[in-house]
Amino acid sequence: MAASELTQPPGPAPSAKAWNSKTFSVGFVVKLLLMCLVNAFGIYIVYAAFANESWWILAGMVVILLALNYTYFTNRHTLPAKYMLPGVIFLLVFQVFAVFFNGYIAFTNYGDGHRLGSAQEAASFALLQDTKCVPGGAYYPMAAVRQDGEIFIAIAKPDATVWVGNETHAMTAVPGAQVAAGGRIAAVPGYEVVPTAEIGQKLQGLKAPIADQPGRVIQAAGVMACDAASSLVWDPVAQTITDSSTSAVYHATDQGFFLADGESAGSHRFRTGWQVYVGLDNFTSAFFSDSEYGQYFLSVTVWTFAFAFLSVFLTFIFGTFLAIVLNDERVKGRKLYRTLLLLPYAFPSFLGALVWRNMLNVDGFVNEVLGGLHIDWLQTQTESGYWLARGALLLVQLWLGFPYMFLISTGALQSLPSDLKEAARVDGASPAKMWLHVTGPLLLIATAPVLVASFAFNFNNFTLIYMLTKGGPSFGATEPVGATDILISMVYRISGVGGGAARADLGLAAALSIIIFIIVAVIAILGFRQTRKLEEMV
Amino acid sequence: MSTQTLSGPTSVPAQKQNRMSFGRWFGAVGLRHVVGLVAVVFAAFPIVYVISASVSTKNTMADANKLFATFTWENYAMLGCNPDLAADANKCAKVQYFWQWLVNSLGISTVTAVGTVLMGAAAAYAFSRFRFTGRRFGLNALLVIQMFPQMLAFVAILILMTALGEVVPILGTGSAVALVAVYLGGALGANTFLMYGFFNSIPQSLDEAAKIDGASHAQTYWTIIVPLVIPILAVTALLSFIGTFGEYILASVVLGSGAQTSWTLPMGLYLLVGDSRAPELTLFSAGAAVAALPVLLLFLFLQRYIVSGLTGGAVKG
Repeated sequence: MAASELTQPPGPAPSAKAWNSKTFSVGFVVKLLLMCLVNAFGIYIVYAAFANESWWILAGMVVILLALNYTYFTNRHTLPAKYMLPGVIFLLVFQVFAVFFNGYIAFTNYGDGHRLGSAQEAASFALLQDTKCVPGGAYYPMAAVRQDGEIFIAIAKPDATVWVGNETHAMTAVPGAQVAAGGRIAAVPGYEVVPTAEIGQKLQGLKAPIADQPGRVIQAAGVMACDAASSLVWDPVAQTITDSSTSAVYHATDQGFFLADGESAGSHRFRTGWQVYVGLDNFTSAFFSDSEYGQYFLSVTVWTFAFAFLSVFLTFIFGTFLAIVLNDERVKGRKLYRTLLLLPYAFPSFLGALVWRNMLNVDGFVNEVLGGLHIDWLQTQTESGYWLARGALLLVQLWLGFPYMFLISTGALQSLPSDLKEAARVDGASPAKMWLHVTGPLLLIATAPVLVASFAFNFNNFTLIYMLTKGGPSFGATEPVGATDILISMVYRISGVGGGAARADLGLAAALSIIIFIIVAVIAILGFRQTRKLEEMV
Repeated sequence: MSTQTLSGPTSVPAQKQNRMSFGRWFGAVGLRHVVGLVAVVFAAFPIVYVISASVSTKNTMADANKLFATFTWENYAMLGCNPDLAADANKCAKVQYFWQWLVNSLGISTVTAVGTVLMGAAAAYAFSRFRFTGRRFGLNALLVIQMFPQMLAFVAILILMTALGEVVPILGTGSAVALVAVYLGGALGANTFLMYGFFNSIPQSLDEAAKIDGASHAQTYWTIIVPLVIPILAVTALLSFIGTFGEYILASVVLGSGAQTSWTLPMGLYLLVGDSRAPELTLFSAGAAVAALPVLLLFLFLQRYIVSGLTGGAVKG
């Protein structure tokens, strides 16, 4: 080494030498190209965020770009970061941030009726919704026109010009339109005139703001369109809406909607509210007071625990039993058995659940095999039907899960220290006693981490529940919760993402998912701690 | 092949086996075969049922229940058909995007698996080989994050993706790229710990030898370490692929509001037999058979790796 250093020309420091050699390596070129792409995309996002005034996204992206460029273009101190940064960035944005953001939403009433950001937005929405034709105002012949699938309202003014607009586009004049006798709009360049028969009732909902005249709109009124305005006046300082026709005053409330004096919440006039901080309301309503879900929270939680525990227990017992039976070198064809028994594990589990859903149908294969029975295994809405569905769910879970436990147990059995067994045998222990006192405990210790992880997984086994029963059979025709619902499938329903929820309540859903996380975390910590204790005992 | 000895203790010497009477053989070995066969029937019959229903001519439960009573390729031919040309346009419309769903699912799962392995392995390498401030904290943080299933934060992800989509449409709801980005958020939490343990089992002296030979850290990583840890990378990739392939909740959050052409297989196939009162049993079965094939094949080819990886991760060495 010393000799090779002597041959170097004097002067440049070792770090500079390293830099030179890297400049020409393939790796450096690849790195440079990748970083160019990443930076180009990042700068595009920064630009788009700036144009859209999304300051949070802009700030986040700038920080990410600075971190990336600093890490990959400085050579000192950043070596571990070079390996970890890409994963860490995705982790921070899409998991850690999501979790904290989820925590924030849990303290708001975000959901149906409270999707807007502020009282200001809710007020402009109310004003646009509330417009009525101005008494004595002008009426125009109108037509519905379409461009790229979007519907617009078109009117013909007395000077024969045609104007087009909709809720998000203010009225603009379109030159070159043809107006037939009587003011009927025959053709509008760039638009397709939609026949009234095709658009039907939707026609009456069409309206468009007039540029330079705040509060004024053109809206459909029967076969004509009229000049319309709202009788509501928004006062941004006092945060009130005043209805000038009745002189009622609507105040912005802490609950995120407008309420007049003497008006009762629940039957209030303005249904569209905004998002506000509600403290622990979501958490208390999850447990007690929510009208739709509160009464079921406890029973669903109990079933979630039972389902997760029984899933692990049954699959482990069956898988281990098979492992013991087949883990014997006198049994020929063990590899073939293993391959065939692996089938349910290799079959995508969502498909497995859907296949079983068909087989457990009233007219399905299971009834046929059992001699032409006529049982609806999964959706019978009686007390016994609930238990039937839960049992069927566990059977399907057994099918899906036993191969994994079989593999784990086989591996564990094969790696058990043979000297312990030998010693027990020499001591004259019977096979049963050996199982009870040697093999069994050793197997449990070896597989305990898998069992804990499996419990945690099944605690949130959304796909199986959703694909097999969708939580049903439901507790009554109009109830939003069913007998096989676990916490996560109930949360999914509350969020309204899958559709069909009476009201989507994202705040409540977020609060519930935090509760689930706490439960899973406590179990996992206790479970792993117990596992470590077991290991220390041996 | 089947007589090869396993690491377990030998209870009966081989020569004794030959002299066993049938009664004793049945008691000791034959019963094991009976149990094994029953288990194989239980494991295989739903899959036999799917294959049978997929070639059944009539779309009724009664017909599908008589295994292989009728035979036709029509259900497979109908996947991805054009409703304007098909005889039964309604039926066809339900599976017209089938191949698109399959391509979406395979693409999303593959990119996620590759990304997960690249990022997870790199992080595991850093934790295993470098000593830096925050290393302990990082390892503990990973343990905690591992416990939090990403899908629990789906409400926040929905709002985040909607907001991102307004700025960058390709990262918003309805985009497959956005879904991959969300999945990659769970990459480090997934199996980095398993890989970390595996990296630790590779002697550090190899790295040092390479360093003395003048290899840079990147060369050491790519040419010395990575080839040695291929088995665990294969397992991690496969587990990630399968997990992503069947994932429903995040897929429906990100893609549910988008066009059907952007959907994944679970979303599409659920539509066929999920809520509907008249399930498209035969079409679904054909689709399921096609969809399960790539995963089944992967499993068969990588079986050796999977078994060693799973047991290696589960059993304390």
